[in-house]
Amino acid sequence: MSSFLLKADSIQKSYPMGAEPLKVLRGASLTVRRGEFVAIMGASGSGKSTLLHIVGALDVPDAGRVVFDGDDVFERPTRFRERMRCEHVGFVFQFYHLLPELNVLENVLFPRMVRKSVLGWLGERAEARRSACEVLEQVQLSHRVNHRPNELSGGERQRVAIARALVNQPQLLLADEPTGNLDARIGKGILDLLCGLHDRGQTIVMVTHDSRTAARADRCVILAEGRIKTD
Amino acid sequence: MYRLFLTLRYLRKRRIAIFAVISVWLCVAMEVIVISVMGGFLDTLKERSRGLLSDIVVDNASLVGFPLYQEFIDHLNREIPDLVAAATPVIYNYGIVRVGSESFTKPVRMVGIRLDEYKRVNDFGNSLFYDKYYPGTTTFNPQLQPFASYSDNEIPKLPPDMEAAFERWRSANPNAPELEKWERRAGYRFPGPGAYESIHDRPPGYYGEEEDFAPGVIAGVNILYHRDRSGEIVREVWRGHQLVLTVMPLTHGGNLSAEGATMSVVRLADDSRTRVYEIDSMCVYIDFNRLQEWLAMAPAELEYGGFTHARASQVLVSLVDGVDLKTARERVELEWQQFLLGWEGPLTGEDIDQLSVVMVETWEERQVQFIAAVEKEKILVTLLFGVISLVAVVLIGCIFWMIVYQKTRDIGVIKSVGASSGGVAMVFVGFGVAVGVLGAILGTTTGTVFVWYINDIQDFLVSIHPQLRVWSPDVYTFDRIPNVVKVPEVAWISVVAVAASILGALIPATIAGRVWPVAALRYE
Ligand SMILES: Nc1ncnc2c1ncn2[C@@H]1O[C@H](COP(=O)(O)OP(=O)(O)O)[C@@H](O)[C@H]1O
Ligand SMILES: [Mg+2]
Repeated sequence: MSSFLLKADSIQKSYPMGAEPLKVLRGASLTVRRGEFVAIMGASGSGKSTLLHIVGALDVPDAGRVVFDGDDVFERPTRFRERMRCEHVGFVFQFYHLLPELNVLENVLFPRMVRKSVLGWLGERAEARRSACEVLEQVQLSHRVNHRPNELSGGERQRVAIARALVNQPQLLLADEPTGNLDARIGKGILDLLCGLHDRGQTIVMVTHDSRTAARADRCVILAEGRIKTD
Repeated sequence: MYRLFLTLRYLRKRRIAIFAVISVWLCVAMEVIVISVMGGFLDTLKERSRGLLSDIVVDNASLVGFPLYQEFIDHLNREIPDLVAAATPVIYNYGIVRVGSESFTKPVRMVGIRLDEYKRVNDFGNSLFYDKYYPGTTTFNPQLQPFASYSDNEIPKLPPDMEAAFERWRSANPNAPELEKWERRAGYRFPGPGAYESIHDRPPGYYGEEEDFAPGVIAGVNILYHRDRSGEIVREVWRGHQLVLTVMPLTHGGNLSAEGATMSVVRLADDSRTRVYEIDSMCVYIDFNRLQEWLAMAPAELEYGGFTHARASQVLVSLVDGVDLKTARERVELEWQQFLLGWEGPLTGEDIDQLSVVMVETWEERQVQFIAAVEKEKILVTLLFGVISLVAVVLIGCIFWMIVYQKTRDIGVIKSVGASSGGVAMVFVGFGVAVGVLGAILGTTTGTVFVWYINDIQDFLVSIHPQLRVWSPDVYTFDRIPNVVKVPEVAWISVVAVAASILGALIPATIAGRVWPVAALRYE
C-alpha cells in the first residue's frame, strides 16, 4: 500500500468568462499522505475551493489527474466517483449545507442511506443509527439529534456537517473553510475537533485563508496563480 | 433507500405539493363522475332499447313494408323452433293524434302490433300502466270509457271488472309502496289509476251506445302527459278518453293512396312508459290488423285480377334463452334466403323489390346509430375532461419545477454524498408517483361517493331551490341519474392519473438530475 492517499497532478481548470476563459488552476499539484493534516491557504478567489472539489471528485478538471488510493479518479466511470464521494471522502462546507427537511440524526444518517436499497437499509438501519450516534457523540451533539438544522447555531450546524462527513468512515476528510463563517471562539472549537480527529488518524485536507487556522495543520501549502507554491 | 425517504419527506414538508395532489384529485373525481354518469346513461339506454326491439329485427326500412311476413314467421317456427322463442310482425307509419274535442294535435309514430305476441318478444308489457295495476284489462278491442262512482259511504268505486283486476294486483303485491298513496278515502276522488270522471247518481260502470265503442290504443306516456318537478307523471286524460288518429295510407307501389288520409276515433286503453324519450314521446300502439287495414297494407284485390299480399314493416324475433345472438342472426338470415328461394306463390315486381332489401339485424346492430351517437358523446366528454386534466399535468410540472429550483442546493448536497443523477431524478419521479397515487385514491373515493349519492345531492339541491335541478326527469325520462361506478373504468382513470403525474414530474426531475453539485454548493 502506497503511503500516498491522494495525489493531484498538474490540475488545470478554467471557467468560461467572456472572450478569455478564466484560468483558475494552471497545473496545481498536491500530494497527501495517509494520516496527514494538510492546510491549503490562498487569497480569496485563488481557486482553493475549485481544487478541493476536484480532488473530492465533485468537479472535473480540464487537464491533469487525481489518483486516490491508487485509482485514477477521472479515468474511472461515473459510478466509481459516486461511490468515492459516498464512501471514501467526506465533505465539510463553509456554509454547512445541511438538508433543512431532515433533523440532525437524519442528516447524519443520510450518506449511509445513499447506496442502500430499501431492503438493504432495513437490514442495516440499527447498525447505521448506532454509528451515527457515535459520530454525533464525537462532535458533542448527542443531545440534539431530533432538532432541525434551523434550530441550531452556526457552530452546531458545522458539527453536524462534520458528523455527516464522518459517518461512512471516509479515508479522506475535505473541509472547505469550515470555520470561515463562524466567530473565532466557535471556530476554534471546530478546529479542535478536526485536530482531535487527526490525532486519531484521520487524513484531512482543509482550505482556509487564515494563517492561524492553517498553523494547526501538519503542513501548509499555498495556492497562488493557479499553482501550489510551497510544499 | 434515500429516494423513498426523500420523496416521503418532501411530500410531507413541501406544502405546495398539496396543490399538485388537489389538482390530480379533482381531475380524477371529475373523470370518474363523467364516465360513470355517461356510461350509466348509455347502459340504461342499451338495455332499454334491447327490451324494446327484441333480439333480432327483420325489416326493409321502408314505410311500404314487405309481404310474406306471416309465411316467414311460420317458416321460422317450423324450421328453427330450437332458436326462436317467438316472432311477431309490426307495422310502422306516421300519423297525427288529436285529443278528443280539444284542438291539441301532435305528430306520432303509429305502431301496429299484436299485443299478446308483442309482449312476448320484448319488455313492452312491463311499460304499460293500467295493465300493471289492472292486469288483463288493457285491450285493443272496441271499448267504452269506464266510470267510477261513490259508494254509500262516499268511498269511490270502480266498475266491478276493474275492481276485480285491481284486487288481483293488490293481492299479488301486498307490499307495493303505491298502495298507501292509493288508499281510498271517503269524499275524495280515487287518486290512483283509473281516476275516472264520477257521476254521483250512477253506479260505476260503462255507459254508452253502440256507436260510442271505439278501438283501444296505447299511447307513449309523453304524448299525452307531462311530469311535475318531482318527476311524477300527471295524468289528466284517463283511460277511455277519446282520441282521433289520422293516418296516410300508401299504395302497394309506395304512393299516397287515392282515398287520402283516414281519420278514426279511438279510445285510450293504456299508456306505455319505456323510458326512452324518443319512443315515449312519439309512439302510439294500435292493433296490427286494424292499422294494416287503415294503411291499405292488408291483402286487396287488384284491378287486373289477383291479390296483393298483406304487408308488415318488420318482424321481431326473440330467441330462446342462452342462444348466441350473432349465430342466431346468421341462422335467421339463412332461413330468410331459404324461405325466399323455396317460395312458390305468385309475386309482383313490387313484392320482389320490397323483399330484396329486407335485412336481418341484431338489436345491437339495429340501434347502432342511436347508441353510437351517445357513445361518441361519452368519448368526447371524456376526452374533453382529459384535456382539462392536462392542466393538472402542467400544474404538477410547474410546482415540481419550483421545488427543484428551491432545492437546487440540497440536490447538490445529495450528490456530494454520492447520489447519482438518475437517483436524484428518481426522487422527483417518485414524488410524481406519490402525488398521482394520492390524488387518484382521493379522486376515485370522492368521485365514487359523489356518484353513489348523486341523486341525494340533487334532491338536496332541489330542496334549496327547484331551479337547481340538473337532471330533469322531464327531459331524460330517467327518474334517477345513473349512479353505478365501474371498477375497470376507475382503474383506468387511476392509472392514467398516475402516468400523467409522472409525466408532469419528468421534466423537473431531469433538471434535478442534471444539477451540477459544485455550482449548487458554492454559495450559501
Ligand atoms: N462556475 C463558475 N463559473 C465562473 N467562474 C467561477 C465558477 N466557479 C468559480 N469561479 C471563479 O473561479 C475563481 C476561483 O474560485 P474558488 O475556487 O471558489 O476560489 P476560493 O475558494 O479560493 O475563494 C473565482 O474567481 C471564481 O469567481
Ligand atoms: Mg472558496
